[in-house]
Amino acid sequence: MSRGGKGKLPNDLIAASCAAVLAVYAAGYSRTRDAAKRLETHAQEPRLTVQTQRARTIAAQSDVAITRLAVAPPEPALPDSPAEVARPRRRHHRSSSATVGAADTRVAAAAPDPAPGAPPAIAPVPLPTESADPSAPAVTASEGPALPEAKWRDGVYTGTGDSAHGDIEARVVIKGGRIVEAGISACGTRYPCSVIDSILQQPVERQSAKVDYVSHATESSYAYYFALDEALKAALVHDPGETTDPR
Amino acid sequence: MIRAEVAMGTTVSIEVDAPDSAVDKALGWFHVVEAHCSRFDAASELRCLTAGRRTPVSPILFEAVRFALQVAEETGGAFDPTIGARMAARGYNRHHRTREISGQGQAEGGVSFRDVEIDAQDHTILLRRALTLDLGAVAKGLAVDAAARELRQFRNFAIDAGGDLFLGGCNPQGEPWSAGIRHPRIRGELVDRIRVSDRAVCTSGDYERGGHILDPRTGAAAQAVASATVVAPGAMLADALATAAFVLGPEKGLSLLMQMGVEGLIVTAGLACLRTPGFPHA
Repeated sequence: MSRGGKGKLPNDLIAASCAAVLAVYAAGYSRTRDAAKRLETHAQEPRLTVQTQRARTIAAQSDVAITRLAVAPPEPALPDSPAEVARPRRRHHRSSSATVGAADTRVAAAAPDPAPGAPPAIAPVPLPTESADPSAPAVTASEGPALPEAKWRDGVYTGTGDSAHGDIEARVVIKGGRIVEAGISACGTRYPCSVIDSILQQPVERQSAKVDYVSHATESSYAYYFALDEALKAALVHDPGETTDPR
Repeated sequence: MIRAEVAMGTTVSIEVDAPDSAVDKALGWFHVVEAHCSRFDAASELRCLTAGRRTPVSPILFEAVRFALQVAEETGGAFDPTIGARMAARGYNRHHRTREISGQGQAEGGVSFRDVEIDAQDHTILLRRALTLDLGAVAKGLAVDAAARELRQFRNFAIDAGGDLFLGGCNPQGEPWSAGIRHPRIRGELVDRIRVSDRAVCTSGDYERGGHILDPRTGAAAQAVASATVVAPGAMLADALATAAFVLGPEKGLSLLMQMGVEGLIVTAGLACLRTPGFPHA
């Protein structure tokens, strides 16, 4: 470092960063909005609004996890528009592994539970009776409303999920209305898909696309979830527009 | 309410009890900053800078570059925004959305932050030599800080831009936000947990991209630190200092953080944890 003996205040970078942010903010959003619009035209990334009433641990993409409790009431998930169904890879369902209890310190947690007392907007699939992780908190999915039967047709289905680091194609085998196999059939991420080996079988254990985030590989986890969600959507017996996993 | 979008090569999520229009505006900052500061987008303002030509620039690019140069100066070049070409040469050269290769990558021997000149009077930037600026560590933080400024009126909010966090006010239980610092080697484990309010938390780690932090002074990947976490009043500062601390190594890195008046946790390559005295343990 070159600061020794310069007599600078110890926090001059703090002041500098505050001044920089103020200058940018003061310059105004509208002045630079055109530049954003230009990018947005080729971005076309749909937004996701997640509303939930459960305590949740959100694994931040690379490094940190925040424990927080959202207070907004759950809102029915809207079915996909026909355009979105026609372009399933554009769909971005951002999801979160969730736990109950602020004291919980796990980053990647057990499957989320439906909000007690709130009817799910669409039919989630049954979760296994045993927790996928024996160290999971005492409050489990059993507190949620009764869950209806799965509605998947037997067969082999694939789906693609994208992320900032590339695409993943997931393959799901449905037998007797249940997920009996799940895995990656094509890995297009710039990091090896082995980084999410630990969650590949979770769809079988949980009968759901709700996989955990993998610490340090959250983008790949996202992509796998999106891919599973798309594959399971294709397997739905009835309305293909329904979401398999409300989040 | 939590909203998430892909921007700046990562997933940005915002949790706040606020009207959609306010969240739109907050998320909009990420796209705005990206449009100005992206090294991966040939049409970005950053990429329009050419060597030898003094170029008037927007407040966003100017402030991002000015701050990056200040950090470079303060850290003796351990943090250096002119590392762009060397990053590209190592393969960090694809636009996160289009997957297009940026076309950079020509090695520029011997360039440093001292080859960049800014003029605060007329808001111009001059690259004295052919070089590629990489504002990655600064731009994302700047966007987080601008978004935080946008949401400040709502008091309680959390912004998460790929691990760059700003935690405003309290969580919905009325307590300071809780954040876990991941173990850099063991998946699913934390090395520490903090509770903070109105603070940014950023971590530079060697795990997500496998040694992606280069020591600008040598051009090699910095290896003495496994992860460096900084808790600071702003994300731009936290991100830049986390990168600098990572490069400087455990002792010098920690010393830098203390000198700068921020809190931090450095996990060494040998997995020892070094903390500043005021690090906010949960």
